[in-house]
Amino acid sequence: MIQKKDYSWIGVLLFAAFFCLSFVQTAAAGEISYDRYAPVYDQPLQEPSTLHRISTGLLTYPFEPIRYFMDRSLYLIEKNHIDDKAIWLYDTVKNQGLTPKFESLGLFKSKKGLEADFVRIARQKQNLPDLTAQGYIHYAEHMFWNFGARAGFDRVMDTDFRAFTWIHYENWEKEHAYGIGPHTSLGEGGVYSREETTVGASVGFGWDEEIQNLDFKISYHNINLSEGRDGGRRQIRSLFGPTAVLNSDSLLDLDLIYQHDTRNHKRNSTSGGLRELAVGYREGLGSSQARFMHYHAEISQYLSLGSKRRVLAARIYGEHNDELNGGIVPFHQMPRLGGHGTANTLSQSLRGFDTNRFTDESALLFNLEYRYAIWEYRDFRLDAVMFFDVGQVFSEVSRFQFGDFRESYGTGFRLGIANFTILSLEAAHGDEGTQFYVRSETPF
Amino acid sequence: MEMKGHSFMSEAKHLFKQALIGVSIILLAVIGTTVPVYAAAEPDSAEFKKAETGLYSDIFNQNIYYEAVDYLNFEKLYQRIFHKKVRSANANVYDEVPDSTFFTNRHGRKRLTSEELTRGPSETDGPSQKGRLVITKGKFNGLHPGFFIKDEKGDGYLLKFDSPDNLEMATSAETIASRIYHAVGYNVPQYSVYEFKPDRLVPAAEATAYDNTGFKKILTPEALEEYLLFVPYTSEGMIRACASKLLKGENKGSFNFRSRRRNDPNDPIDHRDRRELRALRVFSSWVNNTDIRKSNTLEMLVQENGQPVLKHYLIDFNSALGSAADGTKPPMFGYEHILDYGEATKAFATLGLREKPWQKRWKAEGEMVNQSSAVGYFDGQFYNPARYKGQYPAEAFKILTRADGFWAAKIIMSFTDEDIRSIVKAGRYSSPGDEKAIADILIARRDITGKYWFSQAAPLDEFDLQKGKLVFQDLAVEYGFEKSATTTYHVDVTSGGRKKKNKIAGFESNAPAFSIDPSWFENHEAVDLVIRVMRENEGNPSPFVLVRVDSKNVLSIVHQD
Repeated sequence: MIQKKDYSWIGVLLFAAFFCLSFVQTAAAGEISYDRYAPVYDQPLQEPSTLHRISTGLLTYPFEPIRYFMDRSLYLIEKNHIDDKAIWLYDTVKNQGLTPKFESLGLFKSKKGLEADFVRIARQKQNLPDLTAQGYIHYAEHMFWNFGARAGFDRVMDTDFRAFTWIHYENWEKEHAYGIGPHTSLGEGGVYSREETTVGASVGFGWDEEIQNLDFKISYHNINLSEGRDGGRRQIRSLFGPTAVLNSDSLLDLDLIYQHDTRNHKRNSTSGGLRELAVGYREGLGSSQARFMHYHAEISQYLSLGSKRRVLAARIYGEHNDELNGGIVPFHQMPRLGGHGTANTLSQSLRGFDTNRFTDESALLFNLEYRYAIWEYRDFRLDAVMFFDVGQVFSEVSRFQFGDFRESYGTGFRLGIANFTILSLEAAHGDEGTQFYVRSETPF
Repeated sequence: MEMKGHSFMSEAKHLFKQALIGVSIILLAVIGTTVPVYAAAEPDSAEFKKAETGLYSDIFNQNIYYEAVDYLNFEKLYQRIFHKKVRSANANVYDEVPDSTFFTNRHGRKRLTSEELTRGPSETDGPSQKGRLVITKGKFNGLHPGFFIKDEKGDGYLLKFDSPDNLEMATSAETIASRIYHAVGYNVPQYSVYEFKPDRLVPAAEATAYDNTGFKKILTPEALEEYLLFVPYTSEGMIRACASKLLKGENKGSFNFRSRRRNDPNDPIDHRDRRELRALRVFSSWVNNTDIRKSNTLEMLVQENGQPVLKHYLIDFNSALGSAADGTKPPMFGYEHILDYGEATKAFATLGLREKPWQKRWKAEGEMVNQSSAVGYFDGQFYNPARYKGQYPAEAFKILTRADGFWAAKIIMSFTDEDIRSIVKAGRYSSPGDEKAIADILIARRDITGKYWFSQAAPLDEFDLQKGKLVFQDLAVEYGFEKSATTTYHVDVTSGGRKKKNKIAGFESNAPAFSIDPSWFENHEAVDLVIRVMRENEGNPSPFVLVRVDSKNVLSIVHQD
């Protein structure tokens, strides 16, 4: 018996196929009908013409060799790890007890030097952690050179007492001078050279974790003034005439210094302050007529204004030298105002004026700085600074007059890394003109 | 006299001509030394010169040189002064970026599966779990070590580690960010988190490394032991690394974000005009990758179909998320370039009284990182895609237009919450809390990025002609940033053509679809539909999107730059 074939399954299959297809179509309805990622363009892909490039970039081409040179140099430094080698070399030499020094003193002026830690060199730092034995030599071309040594104990017999002795020699080739008193003229500037040898010893005591310190110092100074050379500048003897204040001298100094230091960083503080009071006696030796009392006080305070990125720094500096028993205060021992107040000079910071611009037996100085961060990257920081300095020199307290104050103001930028200033560019203006400074440290 | 005068004039003219020729020769010589020769000749791929660069060069070029010198370029100066937008040159007629040796449309084109996203570009599961890992070369960043190794299968990898105080941070960040860039469409190497016992690491006899002295030295087992002191270990005593598989092909250095490689036929336009390179600014803001620079790119010469092809890669992502490769991201990262003249000028002018956005955030955080050490300094709360800056400015990022931003944002928004969680899984955080935190921040930043760039453009996409209607999607509505009930689409119909356009019709639609009137085509083969989005809560209409259609097809799409 032949069975009749059942073709109904075909209908079911067709229905299922139709159902699936309609479902797929429905799903596909969400997709767009063209290939949106096809590489079809209105215009062929091409760069601007050579003529267009050259005509629009004409002014940039002269700089291209600079870019090429810098680019390749930096690449080679990085590829050959020259920076790492330099840092390693510096660290290695320093760990051996020798520290190379470099500081900027101007656009093309710098102080170079080497400092030696003899305890490290002798590999005795671990055995004698409190022993200090250091030597140094510094040199700034056409400015000064110095060398010296310092030895002693940071802690004597494991107490908070300390004791040091030192010897120091320095030679300044061309110190400027403008006469004595607050009313000297810029046009009457002269030049001299100064050579000073110091031998001294000190004992001190620190407490409150060395926030407070008291030191007594005794030192011998031999100071020689002679002719200096700085272009066509006159010698100061032709300005002053023969006078005892310009004599070379040998002096014995006795000083008692109290210091209260709460600054969070010695060089670029954002909080705390420094108070320093000193009283000293100076006695001329041999033919020297010097005999006077020396007083100086310095107060600086650092105040963060809502953030450690905004700091108001203020400083007062006062110095007075008082003749005793017919003695004199020699010119070379008088306080000076003018200049940046850094770079080993004796002159305090009155930035709109030349270094050593004002000299007399006494000085009073106010510095006010507003420092604020304008850029930070990791540990690097660029501060802008606005400052105002005002100061005067005078002979006796009774001769002090408010009208004798000289003012200067200015602005600058300080680049630092981890609280160390590595470059400071400042411009200061006073009534004698504008001064520019390139330095590696802050004035206070 | 006349003759003499004539003779004098002739001589003067002759001299002038000679001088002109001389000056021209000198000028051409100068320009010839500084302007690369335009390769009109047949490109010779075999002569691709290695473009070498490094971090210092990048800082100089990107942060100093071009920041200044670009002001001397007349065209760029004009564009800056008059805010002229420069349209991406490689956007096709549909305002998309076709695949190239730089970019392959992936997740934005067709959603990748959860597995594909987790796996990323990986060809392997990382270095072999057995056998020795033979160090062939060391790669050091200060005391922070890295090693080129070969596993027992002979595969080469670069192992990089977390910083000592931030176990999991850099290794996870690199793994996660590389997968995101890959899913977006960029070429990236394979990165995977890899944990191994320290004794498996063995230096080859000839292995060398530049150590922190700056001198190349033989990497002895003793030296290796010393270096591994600076690597954090897991609680099981394993070393955790991010293993990056070395790419096949010949390393041809890096590509820049300005100009093209002139003898590469697959690189026909300047890189500044490549939308995918401009949009790196947007993608990098999302994943907080502040370290996009020339030396973090790679060009590999590979053979494809028997032809040499230069493929362009992005590499090094350990400065993504909360990481800065060697530790937690410093607070200014993402807010300022390394040298940010604009921000410094503002701070100078305002006497430091204006708090910068990163300072506000840092202050709000109590000047400390409050996330776990594996997450680092990374959040969505203070993230602002409009102001986001990498450490290295690049011309391509600066001239990013609204259309480029929209393109990038719609790809970013194509990552669902689940997609992001799948990618973050690849980071293999030991703490579920850290994994959740990273995923949640990425989700939050995705939405902030999408919302911002959609607000800068007409966020309309998926245009198509269906049954006589132009249908499209309003992505701002689709992703819930705006409500459809308060949205209207203003349409101007104009005749096609580049110059003179005549308005044919104008109307408004409340839905993302409207009928195409056949009468528009009576006198024109195609018409331009200029569509702007009006939201009730916004006063001004959005920038336009121009859709050119004929009676049957969408011909082109242009979002306003």
